Amino acid sequence: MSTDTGTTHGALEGVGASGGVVVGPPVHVRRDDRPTAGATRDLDAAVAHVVAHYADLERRDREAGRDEEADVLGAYQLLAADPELVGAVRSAAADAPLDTAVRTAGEALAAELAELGDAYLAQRAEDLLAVVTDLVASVRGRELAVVTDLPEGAVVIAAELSPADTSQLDLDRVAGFAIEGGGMTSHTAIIARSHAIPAVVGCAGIVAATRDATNVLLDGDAGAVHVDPDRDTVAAGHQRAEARRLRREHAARMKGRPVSLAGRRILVGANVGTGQQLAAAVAAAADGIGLYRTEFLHLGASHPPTREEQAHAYRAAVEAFDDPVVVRLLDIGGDKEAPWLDSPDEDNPFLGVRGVRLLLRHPELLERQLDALLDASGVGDLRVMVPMVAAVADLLAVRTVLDERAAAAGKAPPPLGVMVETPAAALLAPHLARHAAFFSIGTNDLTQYTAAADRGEAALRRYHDPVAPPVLQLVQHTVDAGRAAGIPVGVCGAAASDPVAAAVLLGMGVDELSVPPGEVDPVRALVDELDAEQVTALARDVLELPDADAVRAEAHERLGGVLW
Amino acid sequence: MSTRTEITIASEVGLHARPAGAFVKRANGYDSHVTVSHGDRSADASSLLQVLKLEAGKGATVVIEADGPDEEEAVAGLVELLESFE
Repeated sequence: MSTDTGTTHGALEGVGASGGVVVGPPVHVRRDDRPTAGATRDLDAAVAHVVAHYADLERRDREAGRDEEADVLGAYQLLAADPELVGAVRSAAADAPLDTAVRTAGEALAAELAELGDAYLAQRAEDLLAVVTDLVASVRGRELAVVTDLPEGAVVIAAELSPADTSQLDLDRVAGFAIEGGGMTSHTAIIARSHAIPAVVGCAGIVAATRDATNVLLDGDAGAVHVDPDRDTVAAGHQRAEARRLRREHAARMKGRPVSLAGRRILVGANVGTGQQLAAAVAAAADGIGLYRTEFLHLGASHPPTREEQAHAYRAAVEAFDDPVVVRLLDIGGDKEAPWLDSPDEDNPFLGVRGVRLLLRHPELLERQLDALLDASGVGDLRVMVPMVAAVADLLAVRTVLDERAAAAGKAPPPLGVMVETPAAALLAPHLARHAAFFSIGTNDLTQYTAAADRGEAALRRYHDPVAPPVLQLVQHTVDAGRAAGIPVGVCGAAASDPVAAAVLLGMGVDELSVPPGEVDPVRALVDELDAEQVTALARDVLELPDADAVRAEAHERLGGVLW
Repeated sequence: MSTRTEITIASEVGLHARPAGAFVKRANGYDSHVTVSHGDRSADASSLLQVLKLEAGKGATVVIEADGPDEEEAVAGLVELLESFE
């Protein structure tokens, strides 16, 4: 969504993997033109050469305290000497030159790993290819070192960077990374983030484009690289970097401070789905939990969690906050399956038996979870949210079971609310509001169901923007119904931490934004800066616009520097 | 004769990532030939590639089998290693 007009003109675009703006000389790291050191090597010598090279890098990383990188290089040694790889190379070498044999055998094994369809194994396939490239170089008698001298403030440019390549870099001299391959979870992205070095990955064409360049401006926030930028571009880049720095400082000052809009308190809660995220939410001093996902307790385990196990987890969350903790009932089905539950094969799982539909077909799951929630209730402000509601009867059915279990436990039932994530629920909001204690709008699913566009499908990305006017109309309808009934309305989707969407949602009248723990401070700072009258007018006017791009342009036009 | 035992993978990441590398490294330290199998797939424990391809996730049951002079020590050592991962 690059409505940051003009700033990406003439730039190569990729994915911003680590934030910050930097200008520096491009330095190419190439594995394919390393100097030849002498004679070619046979396979045993090449394996020994490559293993020794990795062992050396591993030791350096270990001494520098970079244990994760060192572990990866340990695995590289195992891959280089792997008996399956060596055996396959020997077979292939019977009728091909050795360097060709290494490459074909290695690529075949990597393809086999990648085809297993597991994201983790696909990454190991990438690792294997990096090792194979080094083995080929060694067989050809080349050196393995990719970098000799790095100038201070270098922007490292490469087609791909393996952990072995990165380990050779003096990171104190690296100002930025621009890589053609990789993704947000690639080794380079992880290392860049952990060292706070700006990085752009997936930047196609950057190697060729910078071959004769003397300077590049790398914008890790926008995911763009400008080659030989003019003075104005550099000045604008530094200005954006400065604005971001100020915003971060503002965010840090806002930690734990209540924020309001026109005198109305706005809760900035956290979305959590694991114990780790709960700890992060506590550390971020979030205003409670706007979305506590219970799937992590249920998926991955070989048995459904017991009432006691669940109650223990819920209690830990409730006791950690004075503000509300909204626990969403188990939302499996769709793309999330539990190994112990016999899930039907469905043609359209996202339109199938998921969320409350599944719970009502497995009453034992629903009852056990409600019992556990009742066990955990009474200490703080626990609330229960029903996912995938598409009819009033969905909510009433859960209401009935909750009342029964509460009576059996001799406790008052906790407030029961609706996760508004289907267009049906949004349109039924006035009816649902009569039976619900709160609404929380799940913008991710609401967006995909409104446009009938699978949100996992990258080719449909243009339908995934939560500020598309049809989605905003459903949100406004929901907020109006909630306000008329006097119940709070929150937002817990990705839109809550998207500054344009958050500004519009606040203008529509939502009471709570629930965001990833790391976004709590920036969103507090945003709320603190917004002007109530301005966002109210914005929210009213954008409903008349034809598409999401127009909404974003309008928001930037009016709110300008407040947004990021 | 050989020594064999069955063990359920408790590690969150399964027999992947750090556990897989550590497992292969340890297996390489014994003189016995060690295999590890999961369902109908079997891997040479000295091959990280083969071990990864077992796709033994958390909760999977694998069989470790060793054949050689230090086979009992190998199986015991590898079981102990797998149990040390959470």
